[in-house]
Amino acid sequence: MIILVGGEKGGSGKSCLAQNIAVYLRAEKGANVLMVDCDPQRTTSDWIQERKGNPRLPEINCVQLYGKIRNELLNLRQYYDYVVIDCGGQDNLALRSSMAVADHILIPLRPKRRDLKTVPHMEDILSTCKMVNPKMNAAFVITQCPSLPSLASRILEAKEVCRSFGIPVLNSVTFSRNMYDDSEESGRSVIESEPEGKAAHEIRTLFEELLAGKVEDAHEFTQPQKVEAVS
Amino acid sequence: MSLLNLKKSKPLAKPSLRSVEAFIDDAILYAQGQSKSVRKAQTTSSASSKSERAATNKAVPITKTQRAEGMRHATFTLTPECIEKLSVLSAQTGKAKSALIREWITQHAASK
Repeated sequence: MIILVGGEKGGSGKSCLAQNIAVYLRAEKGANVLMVDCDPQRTTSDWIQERKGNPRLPEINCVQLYGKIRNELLNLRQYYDYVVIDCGGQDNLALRSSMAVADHILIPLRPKRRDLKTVPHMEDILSTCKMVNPKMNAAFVITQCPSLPSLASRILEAKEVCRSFGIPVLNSVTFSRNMYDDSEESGRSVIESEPEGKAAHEIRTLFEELLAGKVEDAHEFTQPQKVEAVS
Repeated sequence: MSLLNLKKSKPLAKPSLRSVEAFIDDAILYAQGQSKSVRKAQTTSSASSKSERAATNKAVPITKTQRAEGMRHATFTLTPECIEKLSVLSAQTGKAKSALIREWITQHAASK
């Protein structure tokens, strides 16, 4: 199974999500997992290197692939239970190649204007991608949410904006927590640093919700449910 | 400030059936600041006005057809001094060297 964590917006937590999902699958599901790092910043590759320095952490393999990687991904899929792709924050060949073969696509966005402004372009890509990869299950997830109750409306509004484009949004969100940064520094995931913590719970629930997304029930991107007029 | 004004306001153009390769290659066009529709518009209609181009704020490469419209290539032999003066005049006036030559020919022919 190929799981892509990608999107056009940088800084939305793609690498963080991809890494934590990979550890969840490896450590708690006992799956054979490969990470594919398509980001020239090598965030995930460096994190894997950190992990290799700690023999107590379950080993996860990682390869770096750039450009048109569709055939490579199809080949790698045969040898692993899960191929988790971390694709950097821009619309490029690697992102589209991954989208063309992915079973699940998770697109993280922060509840910020600059992130939500990328949704129309993602809708455009996803609607075309649906024609070449009709089985894909794509969903947005709102990440780095503020925990202040007074800012809760921003999370709800961000979800509403995404839904207006006819693209599923996970109910699960991730909050802005130091645990995500702290665990990454030592090559760990939040699941390994604090297995019963809130961050670990967020990762488990959002990933299970993504997998539970029924492909046949996925929204038809070309027929949005509602079109709002903007004054 | 509410985020709700970012909700969808325009219906998505119906995507055409494309091959996997074409879908992937569209990323190159996007990186060049072009969209599928822009590419089509450029190839089907080369008569977009300067004001339209300015409105989109995008650099439009000068194609051979635009450059050669109603023109023919011609080669002349000039001294290095003439070439240098022509370059200076072109820089001062902001006109192409060939445009300056055409103006001079028109003026010279009119004065005769």
